Amino acid sequence: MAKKIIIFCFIILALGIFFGAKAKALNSVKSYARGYINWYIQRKWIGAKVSFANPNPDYIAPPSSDPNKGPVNQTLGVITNNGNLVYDSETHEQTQSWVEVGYTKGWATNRRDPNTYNPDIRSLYTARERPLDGIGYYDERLSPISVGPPGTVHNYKILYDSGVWKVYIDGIYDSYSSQPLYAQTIAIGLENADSKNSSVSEVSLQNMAYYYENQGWYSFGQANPKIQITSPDGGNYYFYYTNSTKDTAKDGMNK
Amino acid sequence: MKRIYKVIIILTILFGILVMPSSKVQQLNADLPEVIDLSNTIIPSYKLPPGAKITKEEEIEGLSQRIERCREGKEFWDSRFPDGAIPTRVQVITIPYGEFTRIFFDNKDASVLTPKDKVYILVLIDIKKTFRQAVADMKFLPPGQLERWERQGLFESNRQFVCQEYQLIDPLTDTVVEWGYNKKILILPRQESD
Repeated sequence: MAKKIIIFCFIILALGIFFGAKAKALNSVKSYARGYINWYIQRKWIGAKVSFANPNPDYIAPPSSDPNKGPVNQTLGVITNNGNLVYDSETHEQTQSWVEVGYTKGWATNRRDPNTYNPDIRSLYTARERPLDGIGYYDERLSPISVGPPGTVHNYKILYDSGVWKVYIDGIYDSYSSQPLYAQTIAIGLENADSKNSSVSEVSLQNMAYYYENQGWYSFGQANPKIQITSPDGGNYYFYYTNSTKDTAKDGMNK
Repeated sequence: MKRIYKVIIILTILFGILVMPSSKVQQLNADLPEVIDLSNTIIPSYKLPPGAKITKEEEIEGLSQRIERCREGKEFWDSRFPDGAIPTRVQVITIPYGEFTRIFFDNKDASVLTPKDKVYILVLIDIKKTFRQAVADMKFLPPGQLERWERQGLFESNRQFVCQEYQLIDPLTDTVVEWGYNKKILILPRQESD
């Protein structure tokens, strides 16, 4: 009897140690290449804005036959809820809440068609993930606001107001998402699924600013110097920004 | 003596649970997604606007034919994942935008430029996916998200979970204007004509 109990105890302990170790395991998966500027700002802030010109010449998104298929886009994103991770019991993922707006080249059109992805679609878009309150979802939406020709400048803004994160494009209130305060990170830059895509050039942005609660907009325009770094496999780049104030930032390439 | 053994067993179980990361404890208990069944509800058969390029029936027929071709091995549902599964359930209804945001987001998320009474075709697709497959469809992710999931070991696992995709199709252009990944399985209300 005592022997059985000891074996049982070992099994329980082994299970605990196994799952604990697996949760921390690293792997070597390489996914999308993305260029970003990330600002990690200590003070409470509730908004961000930036201006991008539509790429000119336009990006060439990978065709649907390419395993790296996916859009190429300029983006402004805000990670909300203080960056807290929320556990999803179905996917077992820990995900942050965020809101995003920008320009995309390439869009999935319809699942009844095997070519669900059309690399030629140009549009402004918004996206968000909200793993909260039992109504978790990941969502992408085309904006009805006109994208305009290559070179058209758009002003993107995400600002917390009256309990929701409001998304504006060119001063037009486009959409909202109810997610908790505060913003943790501003992400500005390029998302590119194909690391070999030579059509993707440096993101040209202007008028970067963030909004401190009860204070107002603060420019990030003094962020210098900017260093463009090309990755060893070519076609990718990312930025490194510094600022003379306390709010410094270093972007990364998620690859 | 037996009482001592019982105490040891209880303490060991408690210790084992504490050693497991809390998330993994949930993992063991939550392999089935939550299902929200609205099939007992009947909603009106919302009419598509004049000039619609696609109807609900044509959408159902197109998806059914495609799934049949996948079953026969004539094509892959997702060419990036030849070993991927085929959808287990497809639901299609017509729905005003305001109803869509109410059912899916509890009105906590919406476009304010889209009229609430504009009628769309809503498609739900239940399909088993690995985590890697699900992420491959997420086009816009914030920085650091992929690394975080890598660190969690999620890409290593081949475990499949039921994923429910939704597509909101503008019938006037026959284009998906909103796409997403619902973290629950929703069984849609029936429409009067069903």
